[in-house]
Amino acid sequence: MKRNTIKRLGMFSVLIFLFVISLFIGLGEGSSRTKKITMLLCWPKDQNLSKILTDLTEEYIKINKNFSYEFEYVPQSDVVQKVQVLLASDSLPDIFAYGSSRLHTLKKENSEYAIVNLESELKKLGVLHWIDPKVISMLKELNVDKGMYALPGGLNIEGFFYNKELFERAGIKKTPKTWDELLEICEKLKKAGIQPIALGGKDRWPITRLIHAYIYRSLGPDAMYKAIKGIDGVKFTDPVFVKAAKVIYDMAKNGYFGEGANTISNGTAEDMVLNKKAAMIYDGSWLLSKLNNPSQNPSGENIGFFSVPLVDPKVSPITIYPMNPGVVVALSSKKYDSETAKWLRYIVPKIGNKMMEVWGVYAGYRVTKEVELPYYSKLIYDEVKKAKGYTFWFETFFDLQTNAICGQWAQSLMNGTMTPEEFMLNIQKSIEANR
Amino acid sequence: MKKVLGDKRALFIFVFPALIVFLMFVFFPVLRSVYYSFFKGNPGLGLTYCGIENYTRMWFDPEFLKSLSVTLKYVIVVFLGHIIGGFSLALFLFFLIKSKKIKDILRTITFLPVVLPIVAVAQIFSMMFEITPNYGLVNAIFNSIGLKSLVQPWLGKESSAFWIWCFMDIWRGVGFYTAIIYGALVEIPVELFECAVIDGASLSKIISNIVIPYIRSVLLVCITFSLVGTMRVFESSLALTNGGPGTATRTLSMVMYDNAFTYMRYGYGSAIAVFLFILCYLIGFILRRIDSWFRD
Repeated sequence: MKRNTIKRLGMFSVLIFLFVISLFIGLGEGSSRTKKITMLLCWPKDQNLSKILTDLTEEYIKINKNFSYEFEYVPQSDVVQKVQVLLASDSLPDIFAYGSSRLHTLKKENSEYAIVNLESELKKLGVLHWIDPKVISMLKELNVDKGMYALPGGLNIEGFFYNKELFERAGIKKTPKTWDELLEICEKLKKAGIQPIALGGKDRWPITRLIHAYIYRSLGPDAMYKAIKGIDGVKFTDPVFVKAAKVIYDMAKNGYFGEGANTISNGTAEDMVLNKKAAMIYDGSWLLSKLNNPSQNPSGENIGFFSVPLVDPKVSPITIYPMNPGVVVALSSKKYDSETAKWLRYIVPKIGNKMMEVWGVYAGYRVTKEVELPYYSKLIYDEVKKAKGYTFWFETFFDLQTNAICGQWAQSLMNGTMTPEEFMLNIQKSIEANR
Repeated sequence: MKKVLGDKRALFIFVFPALIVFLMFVFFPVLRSVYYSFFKGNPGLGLTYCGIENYTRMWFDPEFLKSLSVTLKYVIVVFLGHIIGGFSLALFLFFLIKSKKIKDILRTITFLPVVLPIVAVAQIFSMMFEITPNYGLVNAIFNSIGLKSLVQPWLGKESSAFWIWCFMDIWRGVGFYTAIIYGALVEIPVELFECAVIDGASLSKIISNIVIPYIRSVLLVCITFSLVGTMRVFESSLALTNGGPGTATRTLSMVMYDNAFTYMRYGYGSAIAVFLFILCYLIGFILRRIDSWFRD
């Protein structure tokens, strides 16, 4: 009897064990004859490019019943790490979002990319011309090997957004053209009891964006690249770089960013401007989703935009904007096959129009339909058209460690626990150590 | 039952599933980390053998050294908070609260933060110490009582963010240690206390000569839990300050994670993980030795 009990227990344990194992090895997966792609994107399914790609894929499924997809959302802040983890286990999804300047980190030991070269692939499929040549050149410039390995996730343009009502309240008639005028306006606003600039220092990148704004207006759009590569002997410890950090350091010291800028996120900073709690914010065209939404934007059409004020117009005129192709979308070369190619050929020509129709956003894809744009979409689209040149962002060409750590130093700079000289010296040292 | 457990085959059948899960999810990953720590690169893209370079490199890496000092400082503060706080609260509930009803209510209140999710606790603390766009509870109180100089960005300054983080984790964990120590106090025979009181022993004498020796093993378990748990701290700092401002709350686990998954230095990240593992093992080993020394 007892031996029987032991036998039964044994059988039961083995069954449980087999059941657990079957869960891990994925028994019960669908038939392999149909094509199923996995999308790992950093926008929720009903937002931004995720909505466009999933809607277009569903359209495609209607004409190709054997095709299906699975969608996974990962917040933008975690997407690079998530992809790295998947890469480490050699299980990249078919389609995934990634940092536009980090695609070279998806290279194998034999220097081959783990992702598809989309310039040659889209050319082969006859759909490359559906992507804006300006964006193609951006994507290639962002890649260390100068190849186009991803689809653009948008075409972001950056600058200062300001609340017209608060400007009027402080007696400010026009937007600043030079950096000195910007500082004068900050002082006027402060005297009028209005916080001049909202800054989401908790997210770190808004601080370095401001430092970069001063650098590229002083030394030209390629200043960061030169300093990183050491071209013409340019270093981060050069006086102009230190001055850029000092300008932001002084602005923080003068209280232009209000109290506790390091404790608020960029989202909160945006809300402060839209809710008339601060007059300006340095931000990107991704703010459109809030600006176009009346429930999130109580200021209506009272928000304006101006390009980064000038420091030396000879090296960096007003028509040079900080721009970037957003978070990009790459395709795993291991999973890429003729079925995915057909899907790609179907969706690429449709993304531009769909982005315009649904979100009123120009995303770097050709638009062939006339669409009546909302007020702010038109405002930003007009700025994009004015752009004659572009620069990227502060950390674009940094190695992975300097990229992550400079934001922490930027917070210390804001707090006054690190001097501008120390800030730039740390960056220089980190760049050299990782070169 | 004794017969069943005495049967080696039966024991094997009972232990086998748990053993497999343990080997798959604990033992092999640790071994794998040790293996990776001797390589450079990323497993998905290719690895290059580099000997002990990852282990020597950490002693010259300012990011590692800074995070090690932050972690050790945090461990000391939070560990003391957990043990002293937990012990004091347990004694307070055991000796000073006579009503069972009040005792139960207080035990529930002290244990409540333990069951709250870390992210929720971090959000509560963020809001409490907020300054922009609105004053949080702390700044609002200082402002209303006229202490304007104390209205400041508590979580935005290196000097204060660290202490708020420690306070939050002590508050969150102390109930757990109170519950364990209180459970041990209840097990002490009442006669011992009665004899001590008849002999005229003071409360401090009772604590040092009866309570501590009697619950020594439980205290050692609490000390081990607290030291090992605090040494691996990651999520509370991530949720409250994301390691900032600057590097004020950046822990060893964060540096390990960043190296492995942000800087793509899987080997170096593994070496830091192995270092952390050895550190935790050493703590456990030393505490076991101390326990056996006391026993002898």
